[in-house]
This record gives sequence, structure tokens and C-alpha cells, in this order.
Amino acid sequence: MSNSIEAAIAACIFAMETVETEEGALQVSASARFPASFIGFAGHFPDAPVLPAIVQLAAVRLLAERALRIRLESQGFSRTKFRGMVQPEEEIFLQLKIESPFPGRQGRFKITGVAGEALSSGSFTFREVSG
Amino acid sequence: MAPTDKEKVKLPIAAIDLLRHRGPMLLIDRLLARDGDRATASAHISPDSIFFVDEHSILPEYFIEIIAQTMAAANGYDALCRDSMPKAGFIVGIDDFTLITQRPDSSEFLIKVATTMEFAAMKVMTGQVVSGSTQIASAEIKVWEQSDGDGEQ
Repeated sequence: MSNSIEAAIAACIFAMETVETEEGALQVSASARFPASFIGFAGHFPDAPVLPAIVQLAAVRLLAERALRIRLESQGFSRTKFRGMVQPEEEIFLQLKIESPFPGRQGRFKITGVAGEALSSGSFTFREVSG
Repeated sequence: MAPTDKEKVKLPIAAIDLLRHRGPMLLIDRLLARDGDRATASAHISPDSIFFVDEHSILPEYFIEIIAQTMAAANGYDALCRDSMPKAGFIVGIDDFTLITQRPDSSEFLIKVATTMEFAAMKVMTGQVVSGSTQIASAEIKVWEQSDGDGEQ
């Protein structure tokens, strides 16, 4: 889908790095910057654009997809907290720890701002999309 | 808090009259029912929606947003019944979100929410998304409602 918000989110993620731990988990980090023209700011909200919380969650999943090189869908999120707003053009940093066991891909994420302030964190369970 | 004068505003009512979301981020269509701490809304996703990932799959996180927007619409309805302005609400926590499928058979959804706890500006709510008789997703979400004295964000 050429106008998909998912594709727009993926295009905003850059500088991914991955490290495999001795326990077999994958630690992934990346930066993201959402321009003022990002479709998710359109109407959220008209007078004061703020990055929708669900975009942060989708960015976490897309980063996991990029690191694992498989297509994932969200099976669930839990213990997720949003502590700060993300404005247009603001750079944010994503950190994921993905545990290895199948069939689900479980892990935790943390998103911080340029000053290291916590913006969001939580746990996720993804499953591989078949077909 | 439930509205004090429901006769003022008849349901269903268009979501655009209750929410600050606009354009592609206005995801629900109508608030259908409001009863005590419960509310029901409808949503449909059109083939050209930005929330389609491919021809059949919807962005999984879309279902979290329509649950949150249903509660926000209910709050907007309550405000309308009190002759006050709707307050902005923000998702501040997701205690649990479970997605059954991101490829539902239908593009029409019914969203049912209930407030389970309320403390000051914070509300905890549960929500379910169904399509026909099929459950699509469920969530427990914390929403923070902006107070009159807060600046716009």
C-alpha cells in the first residue's frame, strides 16, 4: 500500500544496530524522526500535532521485523507506559530486547528522547505472519 | 461520570462532533450508546485507509486506537450533555492488549468499552472490538484526560 501509515513509519526509522546476547536474545537499537509531514500527525491533532501512541508501538514492531528479517504482527502488548509526548521533527531512540523462543517473539522496549528522558516502555509479544 | 441530561443529545452521534481527531486519524464513525460507565461505537475501514498494511491486513495497532477513541467519544458525549467542551485524552498505559486477527472478514467494527476505575484525571478502561460475532481484539487501557487548566499538547 503506497499510502500506508506502516510504510511511512518504517521510512522514519534509521541507524539500526543489533547485538546478540550470550543468552540468545537480540538487543536492537535505532533512531526515528517523524517529519511534520508525517501522515500520523494529520488530524492528531489539528491545532497541536502529537505522535499517536500507537505509532510508537508500530515502530517497535517494525524495528523488530527489520532486525529479525521476518514479518510480524502484534499478538499483544502489556505493562506499557507512555510518559511523554513526541512532537514533529523530534528525534527519538528505540531500544528493544527480543527473546528468542518460538512461536512468539517476546520482549521489552524502551523509547527515549534526545536528553535520555523516558517516553514509553513496555512488553510485547509478536507472532510471525505466515504466507 | 455519566451525563446528567441525556435528553439534550440524542444518540447515535457522529464521532467528529465528539472528538478532536480529524482526517485520517479520526477512526471511529459514531457513538451508538452510552449507559453508565459503558459505551459502544461503530467504525469501518475503507479500502483506501492508511491503516491497511496490504490488501487484507489492517495495522494491528489500529485496534488499540479505535478502543481509545470510543472512550474519548463517550467522554465527549458526557461533556456535551453538560454543556461543556470535550477535553483531550491521551493513552498513558496499556496493561493488556490482545489481537486475535489483523485480517477480519468484515470492514465494519463494533467497539464496546467500559470504565473500570477512575481516579482524578486518570481512567482505566476495558475494550473489545468485534466484527459480527467474531472478536477481533481486546484491551485494557489507561487514559489521561486533560484538565481545564492544562496547556494544549
